[in-house]
Amino acid sequence: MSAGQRIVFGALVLVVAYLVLVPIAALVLGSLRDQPPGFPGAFTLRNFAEVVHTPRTLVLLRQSFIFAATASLIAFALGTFLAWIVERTNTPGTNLIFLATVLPLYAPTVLLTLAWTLLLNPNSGAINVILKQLLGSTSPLFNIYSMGGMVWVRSLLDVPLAFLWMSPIFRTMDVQYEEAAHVCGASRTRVFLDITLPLATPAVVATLLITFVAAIEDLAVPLFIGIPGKAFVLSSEIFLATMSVPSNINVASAYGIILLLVTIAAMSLYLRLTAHSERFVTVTGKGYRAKQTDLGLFKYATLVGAVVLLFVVALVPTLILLWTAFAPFSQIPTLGGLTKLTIKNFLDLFRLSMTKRALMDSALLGVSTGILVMIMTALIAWLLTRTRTKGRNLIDSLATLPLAVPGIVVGVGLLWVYLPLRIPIYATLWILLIAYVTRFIPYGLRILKPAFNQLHPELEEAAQVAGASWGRVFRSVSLPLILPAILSGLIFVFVRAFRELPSSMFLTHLRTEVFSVTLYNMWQSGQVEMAAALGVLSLVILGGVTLFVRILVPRW
Amino acid sequence: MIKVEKLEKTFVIRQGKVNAVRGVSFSIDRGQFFTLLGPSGCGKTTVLRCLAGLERPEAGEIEISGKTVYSQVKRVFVPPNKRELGMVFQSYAVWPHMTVYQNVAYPLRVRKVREMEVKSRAGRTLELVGLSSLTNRSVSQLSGGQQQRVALARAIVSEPQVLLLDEPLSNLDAKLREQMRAELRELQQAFGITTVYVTHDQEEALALSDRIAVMESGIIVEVGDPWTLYVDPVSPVTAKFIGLSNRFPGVVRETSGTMAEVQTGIGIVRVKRRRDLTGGASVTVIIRPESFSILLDEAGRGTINGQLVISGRIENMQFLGGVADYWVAAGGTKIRVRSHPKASLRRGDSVHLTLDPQDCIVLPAEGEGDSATRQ
Repeated sequence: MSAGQRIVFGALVLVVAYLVLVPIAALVLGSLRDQPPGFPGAFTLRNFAEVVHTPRTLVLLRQSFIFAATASLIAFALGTFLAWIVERTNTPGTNLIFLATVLPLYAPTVLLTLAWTLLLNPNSGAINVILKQLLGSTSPLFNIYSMGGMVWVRSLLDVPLAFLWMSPIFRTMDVQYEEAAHVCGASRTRVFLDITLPLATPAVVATLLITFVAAIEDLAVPLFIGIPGKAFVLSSEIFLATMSVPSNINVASAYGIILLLVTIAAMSLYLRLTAHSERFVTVTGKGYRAKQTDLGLFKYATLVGAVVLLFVVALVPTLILLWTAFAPFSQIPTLGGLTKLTIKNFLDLFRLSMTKRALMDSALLGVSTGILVMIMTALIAWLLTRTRTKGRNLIDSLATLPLAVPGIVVGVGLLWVYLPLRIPIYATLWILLIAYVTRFIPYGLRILKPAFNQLHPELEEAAQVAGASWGRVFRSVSLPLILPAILSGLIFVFVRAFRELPSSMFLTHLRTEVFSVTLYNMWQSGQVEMAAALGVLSLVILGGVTLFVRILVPRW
Repeated sequence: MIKVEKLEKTFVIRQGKVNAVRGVSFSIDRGQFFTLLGPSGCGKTTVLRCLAGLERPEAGEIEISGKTVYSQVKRVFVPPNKRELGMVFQSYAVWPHMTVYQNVAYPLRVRKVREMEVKSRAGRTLELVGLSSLTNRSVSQLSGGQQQRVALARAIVSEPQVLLLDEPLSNLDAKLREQMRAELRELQQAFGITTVYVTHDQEEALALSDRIAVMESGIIVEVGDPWTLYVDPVSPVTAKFIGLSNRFPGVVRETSGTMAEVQTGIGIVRVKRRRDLTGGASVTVIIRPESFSILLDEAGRGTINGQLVISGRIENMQFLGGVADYWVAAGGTKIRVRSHPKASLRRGDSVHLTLDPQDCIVLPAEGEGDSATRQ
């Protein structure tokens, strides 16, 4: 390594370590203090004693587990069904099914949650009102504000995730394994039980773990649905304890530690499973042929199943959101109501400086987070794949660690770090930028590492031999060649930063409310139509930026 | 033992349809080692997969051990698990989540063989393929050759009447390939198991088979024993695909008794007469590189004792150990000659080549004889 490289990478490692470790350390220290941030106090174990002694802790833990486990199981079942249809059957229209399944990944989490409160609100929810009229019953059939409602919405949110994780399994599992068993005399059922299932087990467990973690660290669903329904989980408890007056941030931090331990355990199990996947390598390359099951006439049944599922997962929520955004006042969708649709809600939005600023700030934060994360992870990925630097694994682990750190934990941790500081970072966009970059470093790395692995080192060596310095090689050969991966990473991070809710809820201030927080506040204060309109606007912005960057992506 | 009648199989792909198998018929006797040989994409693997029941043909009939396993007319299709076959896949397909023993025991276990018997039979088979010491290993710890043996043991453990092999040696390195080839043939002979073997490697096919079916674009162009296909092929496809060949276009000048004379660019070649040879016909004379004798000599072009003598100059040579290849420029073409390496021969030397009329293959001129088949 040259001196220049040493300086660049030394600085990089320090920055990443600071970003990742400091909030966690601060949270640990905070959970051991007897005073809130910025106040002189003493170390104490009182917060943990309180957590251990309250019966509520057990209830919260149980509720959190039920919520996350059920949601991840349902999401897994639905996502696996769709993945099987798309990858392994001759069901017509699989391209459309694929698109309709994956597109919701780009929508803000808060939107789907908002949409389901509009559909299943016990009093005014569209589905409830319509069913009440149809069946002539007086009580609502569904109440979204319950544990069941939370599980329902969270599972639908995780369907695309489960789908994306299971698709490659179906796509790449070598059918010769199954054929060999079939020729050996095993029936189709036995082939599935003896061969397909065991081979897929690591991927199945990994998918379940990923969706479990996504659910247990979620704040949107517990906030929109759990709190009104008095179905409390760890994440909503941490939020309420921090925001209550007087604040109980010390106990909230203790709860944060518990949540962090759960997610770290789940993610390390997940990383272990996926790290040793070569034992279960299912692609052999040679002799491999993708095989589709001919379902015969049954393929129309699977098509109907998929369409109905996607109708529920994606279309119905989108429609209710559009309807509410253009409705003059809260009302259930009717044909007659169509003539009264208006753009008044959007005009109202633009009259408020708050919403304009929220959208601008979120877009600005999204772009800056994307650029910063991709620059940092491009350098880290290069370091990991191209050098034999000592401590490579340490850097890799550091940059992957945030995957296991819930957004709430980052939020509370950063409060502990920056609230007492004299320099004005708290209550500015800077603290949000720090939170977002910390949270999304792993995503950038996960996209760029494979990109560098696929780039043959000789391409760079050729430039070196031609006389280019290391920096020049990186700029003129490495970067342009992985630009497609960088740009798709940029979109990925942009979308996630734009819609970020869990850490933003702790770190925004009156003047720095970002998109998701603004939408929540509007919804909570009863401005449902404006919240829906804001949601529609965000879809336009996210879709526009995504398309724009896609056009920029060069193809070699 | 195996009878295939007018088999048809089409694949629907994005760009349209591919006629992978177009009316293939053949039959295999009990205990025979039968090879489907052809370039990739010729439909040989598809035929094998139809035999296994992994593909369902559109038309034709397949009979195994006197039982119809597929018939379009009678609407019969027996699924693979009911055909009682052994099969070795190209990728071996040994299951990575099972040990060596579990892989081999599997066919017996699904057939509900008693566990005592499973143990002894699987043990015996593992011994047979030389894997007794690795019984409890995970298969992912095995080398390619060992995985190959596991796949083979798994295929024969249930003592099937028919063994199907899909390019089983193509993933091994050259040395191991040769060793496994010998073991495979030995095993097949010892058990007298009827074997269908798919390969694109002509050397492998010649070494292993009792009979070879040469396939091209979905049809069988010729079936015969290795010797006949090499020295006396009927189809130009066979001549081109099996062995190395020098090809000389020519015209039949004269026929007399059992011999014929063909005028070619390298002179008048005397060949063994074939029934369909008449004067004036356009033909291709095919001569294997090893059919020539190469001598360092200044003698001119002509004949010695009725043999054609071709004069030329060595343009290039390759020393291969036991043999050497020489490229001799003569009569406006380059002739490939294979012989014992001779220290005296150098690049640029003038040489002459002689040739035995028995060693010349005469086929109808290219383009006209492509439809020739031998069943």
